[in-house]
Amino acid sequence: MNVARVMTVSGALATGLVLASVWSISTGAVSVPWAVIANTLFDLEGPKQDFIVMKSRLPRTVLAVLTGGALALSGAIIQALLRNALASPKVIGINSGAALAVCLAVMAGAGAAWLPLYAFAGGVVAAFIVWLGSLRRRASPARLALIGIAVGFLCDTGVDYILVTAPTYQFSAPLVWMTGSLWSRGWTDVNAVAPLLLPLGALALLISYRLDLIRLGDSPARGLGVNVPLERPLLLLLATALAAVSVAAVGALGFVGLMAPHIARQLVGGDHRGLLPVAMLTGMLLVVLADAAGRALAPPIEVSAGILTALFGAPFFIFILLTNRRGDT
Amino acid sequence: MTITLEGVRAGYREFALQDITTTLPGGKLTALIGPNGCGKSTLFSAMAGLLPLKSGRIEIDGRDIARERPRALARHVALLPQSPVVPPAIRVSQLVAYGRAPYQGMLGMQRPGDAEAVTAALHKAGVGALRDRRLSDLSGGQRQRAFIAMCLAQDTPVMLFDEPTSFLDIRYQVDTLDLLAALAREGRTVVVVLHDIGQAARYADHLVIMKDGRLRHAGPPEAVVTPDMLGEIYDISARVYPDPVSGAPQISPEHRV
Repeated sequence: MNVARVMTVSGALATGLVLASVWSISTGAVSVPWAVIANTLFDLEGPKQDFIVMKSRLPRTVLAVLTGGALALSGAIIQALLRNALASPKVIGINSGAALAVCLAVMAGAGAAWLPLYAFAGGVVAAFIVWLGSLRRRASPARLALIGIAVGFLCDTGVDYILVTAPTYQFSAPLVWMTGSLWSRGWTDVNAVAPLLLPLGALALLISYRLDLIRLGDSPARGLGVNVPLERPLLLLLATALAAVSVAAVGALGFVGLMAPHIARQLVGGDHRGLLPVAMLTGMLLVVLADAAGRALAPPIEVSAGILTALFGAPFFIFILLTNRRGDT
Repeated sequence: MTITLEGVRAGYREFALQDITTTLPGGKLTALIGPNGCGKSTLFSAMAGLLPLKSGRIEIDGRDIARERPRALARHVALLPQSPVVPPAIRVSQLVAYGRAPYQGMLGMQRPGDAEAVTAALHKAGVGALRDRRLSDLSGGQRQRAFIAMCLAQDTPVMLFDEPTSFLDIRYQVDTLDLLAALAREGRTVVVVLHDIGQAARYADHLVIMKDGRLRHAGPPEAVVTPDMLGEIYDISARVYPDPVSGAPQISPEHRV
């Protein structure tokens, strides 16, 4: 691992993240000048915008940072575990399971406030089915991905059925959630996810080197002293928790988990001790930018962050893959 | 370190090991040979602790490997399985550094001596010049030697290799087998699965010959490589003659029987 390079890239990303966060707080239906943001945040003399900055946009930006980082870490872990560059939290069924649970809950008449809980439960149940597959001896990573894709398809079918048959008015809120949006999120959401995501994220950074070893294959990893049958399900559980909590809070922001680890790999190479922190910062930056851009495009209308991550992310993603001469990914 | 197998049964139906009892001499090069599907790779997995035994026990230097923690075992036994996964965006020196993982903490931070062990392993495996190259840019043979270097960096008294010469041209096959023989001369116990009987007979001190999940012959090459054995194990009629270079038994097949 090139420590200097990881430090430089991380520094650049962190700077970008700060700038993007300030932009995110200033932009929207009412635009707030940067000086006013500084006055409000640091309690300085001069004009302030307490409500918009502190109650609306700051918590929203914090939530974007938390969930963007968590989804990126989850994606990086899953790509290493499945030894597959196409893997992401979506591949182990989390997004689809969460979406189905949300639709079922709305059908049953659940209030909007409870949707995150149902989303979390749905994501965990779907991932748990996939996880059971990983407990089987000799469950190859490819097989795990196939189980995940099958479970995902099953859930997606249920979602489609419900959306097609149910009256439209009932599903405007779940549809926004399903595309992945930070609309109307506040400190309550931050307080709900931060106590989970912060320790899980720290844990993910701590186990980064195990991912390097596990990625070599079950037998070589075992030869290097990794207890694969024990550690692989635990790592999958960690990735599931990171993604399910995030998806519950902000909806199916699926693309971040696929894209951020790839961008990080291009930037700092495949050593997970460098890859994980850089992927995390990349994910944070992507979601903060997507959320802010969604508000800046055509205020007061908001475009979902999920739509924008895909809209800007996908072409960029294809670009880095096409210009990648190393054939790493 | 001697490897002792006692009544070992393991594996899946068609590759199952049937009651294997034998001793592999310490500080020697042992080759496991036999026809395809004979169970030699299953036996390899069992000795590496990758496969739980249905009954029996395997002891390395008197210690039951089933009771060893993976990390403790990794300090005694290094292993190179067939076709390991080539990780993306990793340099050769990084791969070889993974060999030090059993001695390091959670984050794989270097300890004193690790850098020297990695450099020594790179040179011993003949990939010193490739250390800053990306693994994905290398040829099959170069990758194979990089993985061998990873095992060397692990610096264990017992080393197990599953068909390390596949994908290599004759030059690197000779290099690799010379390297394994040199490891045994250093006093390590080296076990290698090989396909080529001639190579096994020439380089190994001890042969273990398997068929249908059973151990059929074990001993020095001169004793076990005979026309009778080749007929019994491989269903071929062959002549056996001393190798003009080393004197080890070599074979010339005549026809199937």
